[in-house]
Amino acid sequence: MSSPVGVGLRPTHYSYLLEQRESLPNWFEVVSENYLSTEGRPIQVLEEFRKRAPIALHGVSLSIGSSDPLNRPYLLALKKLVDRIEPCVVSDHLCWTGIHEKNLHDLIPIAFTEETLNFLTSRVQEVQDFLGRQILLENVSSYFQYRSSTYQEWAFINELAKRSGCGILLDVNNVYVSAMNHGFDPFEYLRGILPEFIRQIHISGFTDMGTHLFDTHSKPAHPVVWELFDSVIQKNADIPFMFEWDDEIPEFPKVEEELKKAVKIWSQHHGN
Amino acid sequence: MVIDRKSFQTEFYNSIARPPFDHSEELLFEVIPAGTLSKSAALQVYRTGYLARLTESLGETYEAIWWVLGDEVFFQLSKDYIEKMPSETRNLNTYGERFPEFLKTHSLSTEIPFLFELSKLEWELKSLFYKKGTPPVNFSSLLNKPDFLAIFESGEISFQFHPDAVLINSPFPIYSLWKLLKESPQRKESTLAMNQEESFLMAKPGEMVEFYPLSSELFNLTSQLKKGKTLTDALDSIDGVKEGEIQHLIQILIQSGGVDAILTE
Repeated sequence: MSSPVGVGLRPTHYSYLLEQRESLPNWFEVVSENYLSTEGRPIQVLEEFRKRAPIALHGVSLSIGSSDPLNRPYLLALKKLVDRIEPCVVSDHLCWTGIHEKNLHDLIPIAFTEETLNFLTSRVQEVQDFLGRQILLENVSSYFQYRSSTYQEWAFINELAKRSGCGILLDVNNVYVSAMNHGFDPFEYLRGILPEFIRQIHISGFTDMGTHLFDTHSKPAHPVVWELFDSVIQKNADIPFMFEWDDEIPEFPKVEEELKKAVKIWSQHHGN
Repeated sequence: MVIDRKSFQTEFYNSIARPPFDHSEELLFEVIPAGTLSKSAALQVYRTGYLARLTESLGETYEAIWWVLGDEVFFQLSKDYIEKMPSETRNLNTYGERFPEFLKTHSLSTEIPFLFELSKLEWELKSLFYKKGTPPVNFSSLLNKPDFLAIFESGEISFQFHPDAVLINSPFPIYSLWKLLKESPQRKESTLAMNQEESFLMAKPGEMVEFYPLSSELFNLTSQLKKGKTLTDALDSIDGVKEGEIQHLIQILIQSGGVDAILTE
């Protein structure tokens, strides 16, 4: 049985991966915004990869938690891309990224309150109805929390998934970063997340800034992050998982080392 | 002190992106910072990230401008631009469209007069890279017609230009400078004389953007043809084009995909 391992597809790795036929990964994830409303080489390369393997579209600008209305031109462009690529997954983040039509290009956390839950439930349903499919929402790393929050993050995400029908993209690195930053137990978080809603797992690396952990996605994963991954993947062999390396991107073989670590952990529970 | 979601997001945005980066006590009350960060330091994390991401985006688009200005000046200019022109795009790759105009009106353009033209070239290059391109049309059936030579010699042909082909004329050798830096990005200086006029066509006949240098006479001729004039009328309105150059130009226009139709009267 082959593991459901994937990797973030980055332009610096295009040539290397196009020449590879048999090695990892089994699917690729791309940042949706890089392929919206473009007809140039990037989308042509993406279509070439699509012929070979499933593609997950992972967005960074849906801004589901913003007080702005959902952005119609953005959703139209995303739907066009979804129809063209036929991705295995469409995802974005549980956050807001801007207000008054301005964009901070960052994943700002939301308050975990009943009011936010009601607000988000209808927005998520609207997006899913428009795209004609389920979306996954990813937990983000955060550098502040809201005093007004009344839910623990994992309970909030569960409730949102239940009410809206969205899936959870569980980033175990982000769980760890937020746990260390805000003083909760990352393993308690994972025990709290309902496994039936987890549809994909991300693993990545962070940077310790001294005062806080910073989610840089620019390093190998921390040993505890591998333990967190282990605790989730042992329960379900079929959840697609992948390693994200978004900054200071090395040659692909170095990224592949992280993929192999993930596959080794998966294999310990589900391998032949 | 309760702050509603919209007010929080508006204030948070202003504290990150809009000088003087003010925020209310209500916002600060709502924020519980991470780790051992202070509330102000937690906001600074996001402020630093915002500036870094947009600066990186500008640097990726305007590599030649960055080289010309050097790190210190480029980063300061980027900071000024980012404060003046906050991002309104969902795709960070498309941020910075108005950077050339910003440079044009900046005092630095008095000392470095080619900044606007060079930055405009870099934006056009980026835009064209993300477009479908200008695949060359096969005109052999037209060119091989028995009477085509006669029609061509009469000058009664005109050209339909591809909308994505870009014709540029600059008082500065901006393409030569861009090419020099592309070929050797580690160079510390350029001996290129920056007071030479340069003209060229930019098109994308394949996967990559290509440049086709033109003499000033051929640039003038192409400009006239682009207006829809026949070859005769275009030649009548300009001086100095030699006969051999006309064939050369038409070859460029066909090979580059710059024209997608040749019309005979």
